[in-house]
Amino acid sequence: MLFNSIPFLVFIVVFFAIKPLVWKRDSSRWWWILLMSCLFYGWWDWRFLFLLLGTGTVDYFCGKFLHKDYYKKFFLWLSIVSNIGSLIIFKYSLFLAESLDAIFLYFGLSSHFSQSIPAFSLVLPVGISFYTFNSLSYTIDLYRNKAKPADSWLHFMAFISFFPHLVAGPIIRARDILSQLKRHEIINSLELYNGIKTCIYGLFQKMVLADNLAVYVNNCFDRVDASMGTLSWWFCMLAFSFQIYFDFNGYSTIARGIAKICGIHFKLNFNHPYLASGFSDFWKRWHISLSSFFRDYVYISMGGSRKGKLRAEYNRWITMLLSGLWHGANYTFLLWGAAHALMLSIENALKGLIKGLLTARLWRLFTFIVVVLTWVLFRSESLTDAINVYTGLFSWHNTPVKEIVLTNAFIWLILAAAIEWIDWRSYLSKLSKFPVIEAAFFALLIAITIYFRGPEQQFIYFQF
Amino acid sequence: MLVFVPIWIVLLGFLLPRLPSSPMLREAFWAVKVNDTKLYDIVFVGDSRIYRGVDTKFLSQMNMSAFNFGFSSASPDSLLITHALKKLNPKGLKIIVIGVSANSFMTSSINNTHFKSVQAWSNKDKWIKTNIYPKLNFFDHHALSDIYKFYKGEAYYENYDLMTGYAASDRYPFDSSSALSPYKQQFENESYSYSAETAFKSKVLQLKSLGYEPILVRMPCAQSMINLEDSATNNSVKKLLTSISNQGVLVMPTFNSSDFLSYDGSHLSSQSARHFTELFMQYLKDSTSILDERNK
Repeated sequence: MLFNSIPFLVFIVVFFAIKPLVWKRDSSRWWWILLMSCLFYGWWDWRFLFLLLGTGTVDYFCGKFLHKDYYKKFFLWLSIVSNIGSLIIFKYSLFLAESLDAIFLYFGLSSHFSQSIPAFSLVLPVGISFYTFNSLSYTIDLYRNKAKPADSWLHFMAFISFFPHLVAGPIIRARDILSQLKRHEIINSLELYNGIKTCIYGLFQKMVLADNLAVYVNNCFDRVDASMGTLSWWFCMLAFSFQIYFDFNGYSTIARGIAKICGIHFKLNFNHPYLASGFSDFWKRWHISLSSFFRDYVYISMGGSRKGKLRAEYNRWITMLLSGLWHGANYTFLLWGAAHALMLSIENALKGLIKGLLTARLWRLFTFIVVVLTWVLFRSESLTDAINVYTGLFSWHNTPVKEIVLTNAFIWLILAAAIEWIDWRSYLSKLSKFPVIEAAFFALLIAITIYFRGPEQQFIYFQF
Repeated sequence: MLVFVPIWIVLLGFLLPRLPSSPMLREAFWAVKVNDTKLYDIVFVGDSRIYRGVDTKFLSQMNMSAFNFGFSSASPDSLLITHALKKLNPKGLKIIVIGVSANSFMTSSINNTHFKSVQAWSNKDKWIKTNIYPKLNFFDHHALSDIYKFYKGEAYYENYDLMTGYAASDRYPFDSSSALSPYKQQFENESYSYSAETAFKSKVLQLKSLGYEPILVRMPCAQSMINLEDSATNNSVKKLLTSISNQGVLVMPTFNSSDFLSYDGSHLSSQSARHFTELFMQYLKDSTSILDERNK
């Protein structure tokens, strides 16, 4: 069920209409969250509910044993195998099999691993990368004695399946959410109002900014043509940079808004990433919940920067490559991760040189341009497409500027950049000093979302 | 906020121009096309030249029910024809009119991507698009560039007739050469599929033997477009139509391009679409043998 769809509108109305009746009683609140989350998830494909509930149940029991210090390593590994195993089966099996076939072929041997993959594993369950990571963080935190176990299976499953974050994050930690879900107070009208405003702004980002930009980007990538025109490709990549940002940030913002109305606080997932001062700063601002997951559970687990500079570089590269692969089973994502790892290494090596005001500003600009260029790998469906796009970007083919300026995407790109700047300067939050103007403004955002929404597009991060 | 929301919605709704092509109706148009279960005397099959070129509701003047089953870049392959046949009333005239162009057998068309993508919509989506979208089209989304073009007098019009599958279309200003360049590019980059052409020919003959009345038509368009298609495919369409006609299948005679107006060189303007439909009706009347045979 998409946040920007009619079925979700009906769903959310029903959810909040019944909520006051069930929220105060402890058991009914947990059951209500679980049932509605299952409906939300099952709307897409009910069969994969069993996978969600199955891996969740394994993690719940692993957590029980971990807390009792009972065969801790065994149960930690059981949880890791269960989560990463389901990821490998449903997300990476075809990629691995095709890679093996290619390796065998390289040595003149014939293999048919990719044809032996069972059909069920070719369908990617929505949100699998997110809920397996939510679940993993729970067992790893228990192993490290950094969290308390869930009181019951129902509590744990309600946390894992809580619908605002279920299919596209943000990746949340049990230690942050379980205690909040236990609270049964109905939120006050100001919190409700703030939650609604957050949802409206998220919907605006997704449906107006991202979806209008998507039309142009999709046209370019549907049939990648290196000779399309250099300016068109640069414009396309700029449009995609803002599309993916507003698409994913829009989703996270709506998720935060809905959670806020339920009295739950989700941490910020994006913090104006395109204004980052460098690559390291970019990763502190982009998809924060995923970056911090990889930092805490991969980079630091491997020793972080405690074992010398060379080892720190190695750890960083592994973390970034895994982060790339997390996004999709394709070499393009692996290269995307590698490109960022390389830039982080270069930045680390040049740390001393980019301290001056001018060099710092140039580095900020350079970071933005390189981030835009790496999105080519992220958006392309194959390496051939990516090479074609890079050829289009760096070889001169004339494009009439008028052709770009008169597109709908161009107007929205300018507006998107302006809105991002307004948001960065916190002008929107300053509106709260003028309640009437603020109410009129958010009402106007609703009307603009209705009349200027782009053609309906799925959230980009659903595919991960 | 609750007070401001309806004010803004009504205000913007009335201030914004009503754009000639409704995106919500477009979605509904395709959903109805694949969902509709009514039965007809005549069904038209083909690509965008068919669904923008045959004003099917006019055929009711001859007391015939007709439906336009055209899709963008469609190829009249077995899949599309089989679906079209399901719309024919077994007790009716059982006439299937098939639009043929050089484009019908190019590699990008023979996949019937548009038709398949509409068919692939989930039943939930189809239901929502068929039943909800037509009622909500006041809330259609507006592209800022379309508003600009609208006030500048440049616009592409597509008015969808959900009942008959016809989309009346026009473009201002008219430019009967604007489609030439993309078509030329297509002919350079793709190949004409002779195997698809052979399969089509046997399908048409099979239809005839099964008691259907197939009528083949090469839709009129700009003369420069016809020349381009013929030279790029070595007159394949002409040869195909002659060969099928020699085997007793009805083929509409070729048209004088100057009698029609094409806004881009490929598609007929709404006025010319009406004109073509009238010519088709006349052709049907002239081919009395079919009607007499059927009316017996």
